[in-house]
Amino acid sequence: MKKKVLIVDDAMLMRLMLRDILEEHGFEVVGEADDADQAFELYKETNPDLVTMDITLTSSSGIDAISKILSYDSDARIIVISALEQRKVVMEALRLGAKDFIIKPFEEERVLSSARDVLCYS
Amino acid sequence: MKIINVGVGELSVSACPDVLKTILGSCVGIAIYSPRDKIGGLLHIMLPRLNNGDMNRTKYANSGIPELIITLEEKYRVNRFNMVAKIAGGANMFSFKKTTSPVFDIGTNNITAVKYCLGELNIPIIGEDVGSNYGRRIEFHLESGNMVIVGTDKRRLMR
Amino acid sequence: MTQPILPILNEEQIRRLDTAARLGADKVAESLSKWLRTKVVSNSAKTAIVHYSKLLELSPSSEDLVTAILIRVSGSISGYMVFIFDEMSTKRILTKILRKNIDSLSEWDNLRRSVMEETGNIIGASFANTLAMNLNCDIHPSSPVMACDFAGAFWDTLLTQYAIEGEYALSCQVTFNSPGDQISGTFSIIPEDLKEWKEL
Repeated sequence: MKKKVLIVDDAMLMRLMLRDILEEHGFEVVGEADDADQAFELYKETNPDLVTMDITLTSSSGIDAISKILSYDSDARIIVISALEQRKVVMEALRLGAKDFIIKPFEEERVLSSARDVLCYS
Repeated sequence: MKIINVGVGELSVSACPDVLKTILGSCVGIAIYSPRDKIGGLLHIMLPRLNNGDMNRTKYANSGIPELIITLEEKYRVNRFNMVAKIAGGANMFSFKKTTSPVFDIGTNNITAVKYCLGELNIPIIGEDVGSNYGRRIEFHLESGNMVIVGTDKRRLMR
Repeated sequence: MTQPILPILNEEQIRRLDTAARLGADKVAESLSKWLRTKVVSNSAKTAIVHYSKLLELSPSSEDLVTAILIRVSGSISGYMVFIFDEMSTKRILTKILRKNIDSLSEWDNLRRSVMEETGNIIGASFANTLAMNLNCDIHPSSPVMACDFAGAFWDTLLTQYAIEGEYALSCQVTFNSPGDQISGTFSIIPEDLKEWKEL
């Protein structure tokens, strides 16, 4: 059975790129969100196996979304994919429970191997 | 016929058949003109109100507009009762998304300040092309009193 | 005639910022090279306190069509980052990322806007990350917004945003280009309050 992914990023291009990469490699994209609230709602609705999360969203922060989702479901598997690399942000995301932090611009292979790793170690 | 380029925060006055031109983003261009004398000026203001201590009065609506009017009256002997105004600009260049920073809405504040000043000084605004989210290249023709406005994809004539 | 107000940052502070800016520029070049899959180098990074009239001289030719991407910055320092790409560079970036030939900028759909905005996001974050690390502070870039219009219209708007202390502004300009691919761009930092920079 295909693993379900929720993509959270406010850039249409990014959502498209990630969707292409994931669908081409056997994942099923069940939702796309561009802000923290929508991400949380879609998470509850679609119950994905994996979430990819950007930090800089238009009027909210990916950190809030991570916090909300993990409070709701402590088994949620979230991979951060962001251009921000500042120590504080990375530490905060991991501390809250994100499983990995990928810096943009990313290599396709990095995203795929991270997704597989995160889904295997459950 | 001279084409006079008016820079940001500047003011130029001339007579027919010259053309005054400038490019506007959030700034407002104010052309004040006497159709009878065919003498007029173009003012390119950046901000609504004069900051304390800034020597450059033509950057601001509330000090630049009186300066333009007085220059026309005293240097060019134009009677204030013959003056009319046309205004353009005051765009919010980045207002495509729902959540643009309000700071960049200086365009709207500029338009308000300009209209207020012209109103206070009893100069009628006989044409305007202001607001929205695009840049404007304007030419004010002192021969005809027309303002030609060009955007990246449109062209308009304000008679 | 009033005395001009002296620049608010001293030589040492400017030197520190300049160094951080150069490192930031290198990181931007590296990120862009990955993003655009072509070699991008940063050719100059200059930080200086300039008289505001000098900013006018730095502006590109008024009637040229350019793409400007704007990012708001908050945290230890506040202000804006602006990236400007000329018409040719914009078409080249769109072509590279969308993998199809883009030869006109008369149509901007959401996807094309997103390409430029995400390019800005990557540049902005790379630069902010490096500055934050070197100056030991927090810099949070916001989500980018882009517009395509006359260069003069953008400069006119941006000049009003420069934190003018008296008549001086902190100008931090970086230029970069990709020699093989005719992509070049500049980016500027527009601080909101020069006093914050003094604290760094």
